[in-house]
Amino acid sequence: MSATSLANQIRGTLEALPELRSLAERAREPSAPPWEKDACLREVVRAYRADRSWSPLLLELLAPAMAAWLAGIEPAPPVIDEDDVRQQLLLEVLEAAATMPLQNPQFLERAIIDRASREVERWLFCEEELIDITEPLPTDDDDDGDQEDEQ
Amino acid sequence: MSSLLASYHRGQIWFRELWLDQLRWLIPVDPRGIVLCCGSAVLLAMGLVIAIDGDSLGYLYLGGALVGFLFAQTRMLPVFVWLVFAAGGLWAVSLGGPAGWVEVGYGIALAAVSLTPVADPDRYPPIGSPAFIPQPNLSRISAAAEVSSSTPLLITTLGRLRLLAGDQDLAPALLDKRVLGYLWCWLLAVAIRTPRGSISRSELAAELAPGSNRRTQLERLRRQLWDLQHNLPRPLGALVCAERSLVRLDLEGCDCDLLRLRALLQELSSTALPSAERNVELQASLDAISSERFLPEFDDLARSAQHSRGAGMQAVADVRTWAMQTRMDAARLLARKSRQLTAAKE
Repeated sequence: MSATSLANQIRGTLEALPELRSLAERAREPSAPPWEKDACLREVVRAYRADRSWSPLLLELLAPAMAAWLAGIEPAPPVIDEDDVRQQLLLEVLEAAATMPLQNPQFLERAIIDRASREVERWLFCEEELIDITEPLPTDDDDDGDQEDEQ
Repeated sequence: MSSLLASYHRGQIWFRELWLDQLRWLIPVDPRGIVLCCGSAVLLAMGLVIAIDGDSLGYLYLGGALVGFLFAQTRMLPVFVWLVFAAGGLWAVSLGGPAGWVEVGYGIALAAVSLTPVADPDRYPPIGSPAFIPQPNLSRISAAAEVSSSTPLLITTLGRLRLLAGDQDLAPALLDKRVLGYLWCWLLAVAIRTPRGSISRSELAAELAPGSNRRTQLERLRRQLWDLQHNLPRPLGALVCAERSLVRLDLEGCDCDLLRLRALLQELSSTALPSAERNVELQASLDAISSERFLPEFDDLARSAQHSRGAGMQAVADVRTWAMQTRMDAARLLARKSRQLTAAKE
């Protein structure tokens, strides 16, 4: 799964909003300890809940974690390709950020990604089951061929 | 008939614009302009007398009077005119007319007056400006205008704009007036972003009347500032400080949510480690400050006032980003102090 295209997609959105880019850089300051990053992320999530226009900033902050998760997932072709999984993950991340409880600010990034990835996996599983059900039955020729093979 | 009426209306509009943009600026209201105008009137009278007597020199005087009147609000041209007039006196003296000394003295005196700086149009606005003819307050907000200016103002900018003076919310009255609301909110954004932040008059004037000449821009600005101070509910108008070259909103004594956020960050930025109780209080204060968008009404206001791409929009967008950054900084500092407190306890 192409994780870099997700990062590029989010980065592309952020490039058009230079004021958000500086915020993202500030929030992701490499020298900051994780608990401070979590506190920043919590504020961004709170802001996103009140005003959905902060979604590019939220996705930019969560992009590395999303990319890491996407690297280990396989799409279910031909119905679901990489773009579909990526899109679904973005939706689920935004959904999780908007609805999940925020009492404990620690490990917030992990909590959001876990919840979103669980939903995406469930969606993939359902789609695979649907593919199994709707897959065409084997034709007579295929059956004969199979019998010959067995003989 | 209808074409006649239409051309009459067009002529009326043209004359009104000519009056507003050009003619009324010619009528002097400052001491220097009045003195020079009187001097030009004397020159006109002299020119008429001399021309009627059949001397063509009178036409020179008439031309000088016209130039002196039209360019009274400049410096070098009137000086030149009056020095020429004085030189005329000297010429008369040299021809044996001692009365020419009167002309020399008159010319030099008026040349000296012409050398004084031209009056500031802000201090001496032309005839027809609101400062001279105050418009009666016929707006729907007249009842709201009765609120005393001493009532402390509670300003909520995050989420819906609320301007509480006592129990009365003055925000609807402000937002009803598109241009005034736009200007007031822009000033508010600048005042929040930078303590004692201000906007230059020239920037405001250019925003209000883009593409117009400078005089028209300044004139419109003067009217809008007068309206800001007098046609808004008193507590709102009282905050507007119009200085010589700057305009700002004085938020001293107002309770504003974003100013509380700024104060919170300042307290957290100090190196001292707060008590655990105080840290919890600060966290509660941060959580109590809404995360909603700063002045959400402003986009519509700017659009309806036809300034959606203006400097005001940029100022408000800056405050939105600044508020987010301040929140993140405050949250980070709170997390750091909380960690330090835990470590100190252990």
